[in-house]
Amino acid sequence: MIDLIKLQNLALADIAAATEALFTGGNVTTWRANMASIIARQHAAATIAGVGERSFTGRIRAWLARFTPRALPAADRNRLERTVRDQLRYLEGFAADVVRGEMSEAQIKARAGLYAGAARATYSAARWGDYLLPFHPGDGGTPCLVNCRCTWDVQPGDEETLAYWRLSDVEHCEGCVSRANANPYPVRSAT
Amino acid sequence: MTDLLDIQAARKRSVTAGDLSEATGPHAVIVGPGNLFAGLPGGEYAQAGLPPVGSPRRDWALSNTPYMESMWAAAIFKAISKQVALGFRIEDETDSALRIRRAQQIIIGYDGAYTTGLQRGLQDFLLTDFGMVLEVARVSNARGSRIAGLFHLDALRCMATGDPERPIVYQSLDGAYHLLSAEQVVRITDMPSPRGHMRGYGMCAASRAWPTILKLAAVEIYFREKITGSRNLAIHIINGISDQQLRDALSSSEEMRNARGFVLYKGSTLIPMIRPDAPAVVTIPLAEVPDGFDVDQERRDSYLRIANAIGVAVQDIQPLSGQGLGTGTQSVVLADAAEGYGLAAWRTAWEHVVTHFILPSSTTFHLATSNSREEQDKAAVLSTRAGAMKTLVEAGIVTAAQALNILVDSGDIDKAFLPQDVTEAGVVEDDEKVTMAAERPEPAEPLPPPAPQITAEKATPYEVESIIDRELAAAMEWVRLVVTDE
Repeated sequence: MIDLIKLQNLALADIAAATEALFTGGNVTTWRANMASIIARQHAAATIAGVGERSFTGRIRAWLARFTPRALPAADRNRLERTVRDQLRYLEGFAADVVRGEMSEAQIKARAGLYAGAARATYSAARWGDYLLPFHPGDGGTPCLVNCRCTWDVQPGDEETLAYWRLSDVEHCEGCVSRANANPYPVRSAT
Repeated sequence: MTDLLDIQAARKRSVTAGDLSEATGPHAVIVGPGNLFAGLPGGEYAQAGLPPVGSPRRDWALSNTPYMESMWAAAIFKAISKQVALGFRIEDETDSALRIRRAQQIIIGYDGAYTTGLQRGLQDFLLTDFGMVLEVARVSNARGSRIAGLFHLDALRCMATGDPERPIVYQSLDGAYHLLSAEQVVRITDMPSPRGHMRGYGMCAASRAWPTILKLAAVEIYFREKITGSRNLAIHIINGISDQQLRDALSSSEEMRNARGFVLYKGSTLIPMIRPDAPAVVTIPLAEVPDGFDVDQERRDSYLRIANAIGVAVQDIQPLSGQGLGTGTQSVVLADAAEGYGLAAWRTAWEHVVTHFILPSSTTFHLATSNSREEQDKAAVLSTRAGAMKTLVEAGIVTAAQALNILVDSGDIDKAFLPQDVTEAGVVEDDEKVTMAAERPEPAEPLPPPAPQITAEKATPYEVESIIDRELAAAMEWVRLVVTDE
């Protein structure tokens, strides 16, 4: 079972180091490249962990991914590339704002830190990639945005598969409460 | 949204659950147990031949009433413009500038512009039994997703499904049908019917004023035709004069219609008769006001009925002119009384809808109603209450700090002046929200000044696949660090 908080903290530490380097004689190009690497690393880790938790076959695929990215199922790899591409698009806008000089050091650090939380949705999509779920925690569709701590609980049944949106032991935004109130969600297989 | 009672869950425990039908798609308004044909309201035709109560055809007729009668149109215009001119105020208990700004953007952007959206919505509220319909467009179909904007929906293109979770089907102009969930649509109806089968249809101002509108329109049309001679309003049989004599007497440069046996002159039919009696006239009226009809009095009565139907003070429709001071004083009393009914009820409903169903839990919306008289009243109340507090403090009944707490609780003094509210969470008004202490985020620290200039070289495009391939090994290391055995 993946500890998403730990993963987030690993990314946060590297992001903080890269951003600090920016303010101590660095340049935006280097910072941008480092941020891109950290983002790709975090989302790849989330995808691999999600695939590994899905099934025994998934665990094997996840282990093999260290040697070749083609070990990951095509759907997961495509999703990973799409996600990283989207994140890097946001990073481009962020970099442009940094170059314009409209943000303070604290603002830049705070905004950079937001990128660390985006992997939660990536992990959820990979973990439950066998099902067509309507949304995922941390996908930006609720007011809590990337700070969402909710999880899916998919229960396959003989006649139908039901998914439950589970609230964790923290305070929740109205969006997540609303999602939980709509339980259960009948879901179909992705294949 | 405010953390309200889950009405849908509560309704499933209610005996009225049997009144509901499940709308599984837009077709539910056409077929299925709760469809329009099965659930049509009683087919009673209203007075003066309006289509049945609770039918779209009736709403179509009612919504066109401003084009029938100009005083009614002016009254509707005055009522609506008065609400639009009020403006609004947004408050956030956490003083979050971000939340207030976001709320303001949503409200200002109502149907493109707040004043436009409100005018369109209020016309439907006053002129259709279906009521005012507001779409809450969200960024995704996921429940609880963020609000993208508010839009007016044409009540004549909305159909009630009878399913409270999916209450309305909207037909857009491209012909598509859209089934809207309870999170996507809000409806404010005037006097919603207590009958279960009416699906929320009410009785709008136009419904209440329909007979008066017809009468006013008829009076105006009669006098217009009488003055312009554009319609035959009477037949006069004139005795003792020949046809030729009459024509010679009435010949004029205007267009005359020449028909055998009678003459049409300026809207009256004149039939000459040759009889050996003295000249005389017998008139057969085809349309006229009844004996004793006092136009001024009828109009005054009509204005009062219109004002009552809309729910405004009568002097909003018919300003005072030429009356004495006593009438002016009565006017002030009537205006104050009008604040307690009619469109004041719409204002409350609008504030509730925006505050509790659209804005976040710590943000409230108020229509601005301040005017100089109200400000004077507030000052008078504050003076009286402060005097009472002074007396209590001097008598040793309460301390100065407790008196301050009482004045904050009553809204006379801003709560920012109170270090600690010892009477917290005692009372909440309908236009307030209670934000628990745990929900209030810590205020943000002030930001430091901008960083020194940062240099940058020209950015190269990302090669996503290469970046991912390069980071896979490091990603595996992270997976090893974060995966537990649970």
